[in-house]
Amino acid sequence: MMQANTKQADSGVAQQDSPLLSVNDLRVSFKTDEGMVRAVRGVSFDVHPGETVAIVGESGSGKSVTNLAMMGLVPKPPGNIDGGTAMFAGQNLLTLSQRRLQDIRGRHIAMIFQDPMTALNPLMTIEQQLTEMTRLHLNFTRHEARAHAIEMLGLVGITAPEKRLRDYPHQFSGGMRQRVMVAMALSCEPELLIADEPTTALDVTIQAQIMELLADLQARKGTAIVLITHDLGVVAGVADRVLVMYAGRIIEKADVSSLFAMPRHPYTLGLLGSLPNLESNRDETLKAIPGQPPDMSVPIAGCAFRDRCEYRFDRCQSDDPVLTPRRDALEDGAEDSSMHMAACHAVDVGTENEPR
Amino acid sequence: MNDSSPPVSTPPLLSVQDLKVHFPFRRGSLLGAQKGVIRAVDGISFDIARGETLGLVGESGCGKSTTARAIINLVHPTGGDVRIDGVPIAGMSDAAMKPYRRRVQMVFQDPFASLNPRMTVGGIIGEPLVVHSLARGRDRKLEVLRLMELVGLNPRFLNRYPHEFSGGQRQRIGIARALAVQPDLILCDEPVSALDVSIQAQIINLLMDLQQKLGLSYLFIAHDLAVVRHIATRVGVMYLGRMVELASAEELYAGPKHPYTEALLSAVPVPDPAVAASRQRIVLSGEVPSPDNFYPGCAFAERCPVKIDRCVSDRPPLPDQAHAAACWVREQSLS
Repeated sequence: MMQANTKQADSGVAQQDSPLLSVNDLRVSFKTDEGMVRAVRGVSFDVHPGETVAIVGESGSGKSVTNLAMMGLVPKPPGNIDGGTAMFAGQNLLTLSQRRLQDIRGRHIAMIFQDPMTALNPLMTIEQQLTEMTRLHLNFTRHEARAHAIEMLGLVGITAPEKRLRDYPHQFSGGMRQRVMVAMALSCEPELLIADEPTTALDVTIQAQIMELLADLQARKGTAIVLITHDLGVVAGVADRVLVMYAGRIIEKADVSSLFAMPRHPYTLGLLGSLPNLESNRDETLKAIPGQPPDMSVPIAGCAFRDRCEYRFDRCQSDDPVLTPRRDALEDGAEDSSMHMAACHAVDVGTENEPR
Repeated sequence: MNDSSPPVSTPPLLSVQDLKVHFPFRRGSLLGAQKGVIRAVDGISFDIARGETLGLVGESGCGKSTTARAIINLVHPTGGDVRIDGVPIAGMSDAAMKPYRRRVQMVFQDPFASLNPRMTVGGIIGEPLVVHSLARGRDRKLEVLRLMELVGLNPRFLNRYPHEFSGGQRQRIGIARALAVQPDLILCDEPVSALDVSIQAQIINLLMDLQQKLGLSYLFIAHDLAVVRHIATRVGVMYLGRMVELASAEELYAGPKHPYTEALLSAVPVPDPAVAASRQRIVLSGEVPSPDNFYPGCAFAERCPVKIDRCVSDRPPLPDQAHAAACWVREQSLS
């Protein structure tokens, strides 16, 4: 609890630094049998040192593809980066050669995945996998790498790390594998950690342990985290800022308290309304969002959410809304990345049935 | 349900007494094989009344799905008694089971794996009508269309195949199929965990709406405690094959008795940053131990923050009362 408070104070400071990562107008598409799927349709955001940015969205919203694209992990074909930049330490990640990317991946930007078995090699011992990166990136000797691996395993809470180094991934439980993956991702002390649904496959008590571990390591090492998740509960607990994605776009961005206290986009409102909570009453019907997300293989004109939206009006059919700050915030002055913005005509022009 | 209380007028719709499902296993090579037994479900008891929703929560491997499967004999119980309207069905032959299968249906977690990809929606929903000889020809088609309407599927989709549908729509197909035989009880095994949040709410609302309309009872299995809070009238908490707490939903969430329930509730992420920052979390150390060990005492003792000596040696029973916890320390009636 203390942690949450200090973290928020930290991030306030971090805002003034120049961003660690700056993504601008990223667009990614995939060629499929059904046609061209525009998975990411112009996404822009910054990540500052030491902060946690959560990207929230449902399956198919483009949250994972956004991050895979930055890491050069979108398979081409069928995928294609149609445009945009992702600046990290003065270099555009999207145009770097695989060779140069390899120097960055693992060393400066690390990733952890939902399923640890996608990152761990079942045929290699934990020692081989944990020492590989430090020997490659940091030129550690075998002895140094081993000592470092033991230290990292201890740090993520694995007991008797010297012994466990000789084990293979299948000898660990799901939660323990996730810890090993965290140890591996953090072993070169990256400036940025991309965590793609890191706790989705885990039980709640283990999920709490892993999130606590990440927050703790972040506080110690100052790592920035991009957390990709569909779980708004997890977001509320750990994020500093939140980006809400829908149909390949960011439709709302805000700091975490502002997003939950004053959601502005009808989709965000709907998402929060459709969540049962621990105090929710059997007699209350959940406010489900009607309909389904749009078919991404068909080009979308206007707002992608309009067919499910109760605030829609004529303009939503034709004009694609862009991220716009609150009008009152605009009057307050300077625009910065912490500003609460939503891409919605109903919010934007202030129609009679404006959501907020 | 104990011998002390004489049977009341009508037996409950479903009654489960001391249900056990043990899986024998062999470990190691053929020669030096070591035999053992996994106690997936280790003596649990509960009732479900008509029109009631019993939520069953617990972490993966705690035996909640196996419990549901054992109720309809998809796995054979090692011991214990399952009764529907007072008639014991555990261990019945498949033929003798058939009328009971009609009364108890199941909805599965994965709407992608539980529907036959080669059958049309009409075929999938109509199949139980064929199996149980309930309707033929035009009547069957009309009944299928009625069911599709009932679960909110467009009847135009009658001749489409499962791959043409999204997860939420597939779950509606699975629910329509379960409803086809007009069951009294539906065992829902994680019916919304594979769905996106906005779709999840649609399915929860549908299930609750159908319960109102048709007077259904549910056994609702989920690991998401907020979902269970919303849908269940009573809730059972399982740990390592045992029921550790059983109470009305209100009482369980307002005042959990068992230390495991407490930890579980405190670990649920709350979608509210202010609450998330201020609340006290009980982070349990360690993980759920393997069910292939035998625990003479409380299965939770190893991780329990309040355990006493007795917890390691004696297994605490679940007392027969409205809000019951199997805990030597917390349950007044046991001490």
